[in-house]
Amino acid sequence: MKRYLILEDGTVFPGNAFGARINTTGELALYTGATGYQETITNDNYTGQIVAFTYPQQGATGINRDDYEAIQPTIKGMVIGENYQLPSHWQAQMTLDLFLQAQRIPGLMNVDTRRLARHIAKYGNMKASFMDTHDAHAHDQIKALVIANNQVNQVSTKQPFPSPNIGKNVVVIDLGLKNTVLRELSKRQCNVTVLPFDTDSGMINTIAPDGILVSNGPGKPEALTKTIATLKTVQERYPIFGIGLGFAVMALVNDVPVLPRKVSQHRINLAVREKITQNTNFAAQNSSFYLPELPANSDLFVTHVAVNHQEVLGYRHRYLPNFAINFDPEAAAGPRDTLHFFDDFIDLMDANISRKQRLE
Amino acid sequence: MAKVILDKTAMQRALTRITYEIIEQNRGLNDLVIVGIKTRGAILAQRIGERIAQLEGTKVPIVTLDITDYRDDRPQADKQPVNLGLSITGKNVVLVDDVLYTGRTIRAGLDALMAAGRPQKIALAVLVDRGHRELPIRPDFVGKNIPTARSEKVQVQVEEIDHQEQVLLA
Repeated sequence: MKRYLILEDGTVFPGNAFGARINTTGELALYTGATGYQETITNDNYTGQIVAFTYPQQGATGINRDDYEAIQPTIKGMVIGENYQLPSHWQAQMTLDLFLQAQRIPGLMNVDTRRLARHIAKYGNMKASFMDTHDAHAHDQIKALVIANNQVNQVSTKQPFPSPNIGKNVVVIDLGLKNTVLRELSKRQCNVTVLPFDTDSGMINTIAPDGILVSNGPGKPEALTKTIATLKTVQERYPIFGIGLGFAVMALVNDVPVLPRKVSQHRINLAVREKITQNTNFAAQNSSFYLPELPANSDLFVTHVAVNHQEVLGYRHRYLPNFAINFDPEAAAGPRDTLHFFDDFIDLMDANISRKQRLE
Repeated sequence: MAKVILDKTAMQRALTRITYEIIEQNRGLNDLVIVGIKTRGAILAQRIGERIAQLEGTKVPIVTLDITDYRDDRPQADKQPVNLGLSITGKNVVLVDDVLYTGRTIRAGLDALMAAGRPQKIALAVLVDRGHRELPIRPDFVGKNIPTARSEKVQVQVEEIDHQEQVLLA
């Protein structure tokens, strides 16, 4: 069945339907990794977005039970080139097509996604829709679409929940948490409590954690006024690790503004330089905002920079045990060069515990 | 058989974290002097100094301290005044050594420093704390706490001397 991807500037990309046969609208996101479609379409970073894959073929490994990043996928659509319909992988349980049908997510295949990527790179982020026709009405509809500003509200847990273990007591502020973040904390035996994004400081102080992780997530950091206010009141009391959206939120907590990107970055090949050792690692990144530099009088200092362009990828607080990074250390999908940030978080909590013991 | 308890990467990460903690606890780099105890402590002090330079673009004074004369198993009469090449009076000194064990080396280091001036503060950074203190000394910055038996040996190896980087327990 012929269908169309319609961009808000009127550009039309023809393709064929797969997955759920429903119309959809949302902001278009471009994923440039060659692998990792299952992790990507179940990543809450893409809530409300139509995700286009620039790598020409998707579906070759089907869908398995181990690579979900959320229980319920929240993307609005998937745009691909070739849909490989006979997956060959020992873990595969079903095809990509069947998964999208079951999850009520529409797909569009046989699209020239590389032309689409060049178009977005030139003109910036855009709203988009999947429609059966591309008449004037369809164009007007996508132009009139208003993108909601409450994505975190949609994906953050409604109730606190525990992920029990025998190690460090960690609070995770859920802004759109990926499962793998919890997996990495579990591997390090962290006794985790996941809290909703609008948690107040009283709740955190009752738990009295060894440290707080502010998670990745979708949408705009400025919208998270409650989260920012809560973290402002607790940041002097607990070690904090911010990832992705958590990086932007912790910057705002310290009165450092972040800027929206012209083109959101969703990739698994970000070159990150650690300033202190000049070592370079590769990381996955899902980011729609960036920090060009830190103001001179800031309490934060730069720890990680992008190798290929001017951008702060990691900072640390000058006086408090807080650090944050604007990429995904948990990978899933992506290279695992940067998993050690979870060890760094554990070490940070350890050092803070022994410092407190010495002072007592 | 010697067992590797910190490999090269883990050693680097530990030194990186200690550097961040020094900046955090010192509230900046003002009046900071890093003193490394000869031989491997001095090399680790250099590494911390290089890290601060990469991070902040500032060169912090790095000094090597030979504590031989101040050891408590040497005749006290042999003590020579220590020449650090700079005044540490009023400074925030971070004393760096590779392994903290009985605390006797650090005591000698403290005496040597006090003989050389009157620092505002002395903090202690060690790559490994292996326990078994015989003096009331504790570190401010620790790379790794490693519970050991007295009969065991902890050896920190560095590129410059040992041609490899690792910490061994034997």
